Amino acid sequence: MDKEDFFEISTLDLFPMGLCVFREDFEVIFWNTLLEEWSCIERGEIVGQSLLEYFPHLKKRGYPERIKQVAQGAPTAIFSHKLHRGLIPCPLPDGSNMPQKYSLTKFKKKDDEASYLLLCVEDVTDTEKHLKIYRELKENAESASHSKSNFLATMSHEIRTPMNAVLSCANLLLDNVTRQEDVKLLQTIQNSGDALLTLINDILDFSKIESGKMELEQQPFDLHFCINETLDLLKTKASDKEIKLSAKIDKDVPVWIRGDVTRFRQVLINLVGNGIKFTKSKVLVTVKAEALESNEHEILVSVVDDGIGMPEEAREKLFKSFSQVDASTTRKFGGTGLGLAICKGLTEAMGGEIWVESVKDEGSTFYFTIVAEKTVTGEAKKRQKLSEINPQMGKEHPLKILMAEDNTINQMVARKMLEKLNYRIDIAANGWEAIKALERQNYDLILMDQHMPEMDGVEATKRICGKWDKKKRPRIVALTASAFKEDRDRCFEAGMDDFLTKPIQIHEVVRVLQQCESRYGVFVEKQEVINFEALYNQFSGESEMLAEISENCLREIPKCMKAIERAVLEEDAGAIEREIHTLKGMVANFQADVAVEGALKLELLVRKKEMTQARSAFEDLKRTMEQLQIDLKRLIEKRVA
Amino acid sequence: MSSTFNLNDDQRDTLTEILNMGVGGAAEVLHQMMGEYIDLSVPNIYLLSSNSLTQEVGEDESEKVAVKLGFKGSVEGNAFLLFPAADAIRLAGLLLGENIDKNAPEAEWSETVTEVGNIVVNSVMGAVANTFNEVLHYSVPQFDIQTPGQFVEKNVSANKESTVVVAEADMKICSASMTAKILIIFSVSSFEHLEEHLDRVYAESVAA
Repeated sequence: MDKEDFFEISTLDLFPMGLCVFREDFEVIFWNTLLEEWSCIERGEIVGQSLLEYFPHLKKRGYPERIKQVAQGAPTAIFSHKLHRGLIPCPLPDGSNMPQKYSLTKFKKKDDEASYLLLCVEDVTDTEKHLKIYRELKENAESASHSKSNFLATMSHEIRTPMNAVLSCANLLLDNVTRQEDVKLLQTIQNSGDALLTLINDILDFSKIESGKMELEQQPFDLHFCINETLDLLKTKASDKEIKLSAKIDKDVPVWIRGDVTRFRQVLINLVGNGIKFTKSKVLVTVKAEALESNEHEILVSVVDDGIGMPEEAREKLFKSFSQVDASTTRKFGGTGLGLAICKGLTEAMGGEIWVESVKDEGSTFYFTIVAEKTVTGEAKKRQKLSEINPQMGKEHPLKILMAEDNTINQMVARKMLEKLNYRIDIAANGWEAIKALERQNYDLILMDQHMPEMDGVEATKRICGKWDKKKRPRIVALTASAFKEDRDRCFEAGMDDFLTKPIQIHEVVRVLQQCESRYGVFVEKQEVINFEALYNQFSGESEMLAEISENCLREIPKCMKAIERAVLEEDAGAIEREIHTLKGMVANFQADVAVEGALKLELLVRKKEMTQARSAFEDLKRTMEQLQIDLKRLIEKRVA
Repeated sequence: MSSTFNLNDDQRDTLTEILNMGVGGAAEVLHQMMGEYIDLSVPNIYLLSSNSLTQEVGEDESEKVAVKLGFKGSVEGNAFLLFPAADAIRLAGLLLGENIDKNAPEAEWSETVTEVGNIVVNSVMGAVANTFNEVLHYSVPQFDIQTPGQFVEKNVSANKESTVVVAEADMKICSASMTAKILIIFSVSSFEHLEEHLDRVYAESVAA
């Protein structure tokens, strides 16, 4: 057979594929122009030769078997480009081989008994190029998403820290003001601060849901207690609007389930809160459960209101992902829009769904389901009234407490909060100081902030756990503003026993204190500062003068203390010394040795520039001066009597 | 099940043996190609009416990968290797030694999976044709990814009931296990020929 006229060569050369025809014994019969160009092997050279001579790798890897199968009548064989790179090597300028895919088919020529094998070679460079672009885009997107997460986490912390300070100070002030106007102003600060914090949390949550990074806890919790407690939280809001808020939990609903109590509560608060907003007279929460396979239950919660209802079009948009979080600043975050989108993400993450049924002017019912494993029955939690704070707790359950916190506002806030419970705390400004304090004396509890200069909370905890036996060392509770589970996990891995989320809530503090064993704490009663007996002896018969001096001091002491406080915050040693000098002069009149000692101690620490301890000493002095003022008022009353 | 779509025990055993020969051949080819030991076996087969195919392929919405090969001759129809898309991606990853994300574009893995399907189905139909001593003509293998509903709609005629041979092929590769389904949908007219071929082969093997 004349190999050159085997085919209508010009026709086959128009094919946009490389074509090679060979016999079963691998003798090449045809090699088209495209294959010539790609392989740099000329037709004249290879036709009549064995394919195996040019491409010896075809003797291995199952090629002979597959080629034989096709020759014997099996269907077309495909050789994919990723598994068979360089089957027919076609070098590119950069030295690599052209990516190709191949197919091998048997055919017979008319009027010819012999059968031939046709190898088609297809250039898939474009596919490879597109895949490479896709991979790069994916990597960039992942990197951008990671950067965005880091940015959000950092910004969240930077925004929360001062926000917490604002809110905590407003909370503390509320305890001390009586003027209605002042109360209203402080409540405005609180509400706005809460709204801002909620917004930050929502943005973080939404971002996590969007990037598929929402991680849920899987811990046992009392579902009934959670639902009732949540409704308790919203009862005030409901009664302000004269709305009746009630819940009905089916007896089939398991009490203890495994899941994320915070996120479950979040969805419920969102829906019930909306219900209260839009309803006319009532909001009813009903809870049902259906047993599924293997101890799991589907919990169905419905929140029914009798409000304005909503039309079909509005319902369709309600849970839609709010995808414009990164858009221009003119975009407003409608509170409801983000909240429901988050509820959708959370319920889906909890294995459930969320939907709404509504009739215009009659009301709406929001439904959501979660799937949870019923867990070991625990004791039903007693419902604690959140507002009940026991001011005698420090006396009944004394604890030696150290706080490691560099932020002076946070130090002050924590101190005030614990004073309400009749506890004193010592302060360390960073991890190093905390360890040094532990070396000097034993503590029952350390409240450990995370981000501190010189040594952070995690490092300090690791060292404390390494240095002291668990029985001897204090219980370590992390103070964290972080919303991320990874950060909290880091705390536990370092050896921390518990955590408190900022802004610190007093009932959480109570919980932490209750769980701490009292080993080293000693309660010290508040003592009178003035030695009345000695004073009366000194001012015998001159009670009127004593009273006048007392009144004078009562006016001047607060001003003086405020000036010292400012100077302490500003670390203005000169100003502190001047004011202490004035204060000492005043209190020296009253046989108030404790006050004098306190002032002297502070002066000494300031001179030695030990500012952290000076701040601690100032707090002690403040308490002393508060008691002194109480004692002075007694003196004045005695005069009047 | 209609008696039209039943094979007797001998016929079923013969067909199982042919399919096992086919997948055995495929396993050998894959082993030579990859250097990995690949275990492929077909423990049993059964027959269905094409009307019941939906239940067989699955009534959920998760996507399945199908490599399809049409054949014509004294028996005609379509042969498929069918597996869940997630397993297909996993298989491609194992063969390529890459970690392929389940959301990766098809271009990353579909060709590799098509080749595996091609090897298995070719080998199976090759075994059928050789054992029956028949010449069959084949279409070019095709890759498709679709839901079970879409698969049935595309490959089964609603009007003409046909016989489906189903074989579950257990695959073990690089210590990962997965199960693929080999489906051969015979046209109604060729089912009788299938029975005749199987009876002849059985008789010959007994005589031998």
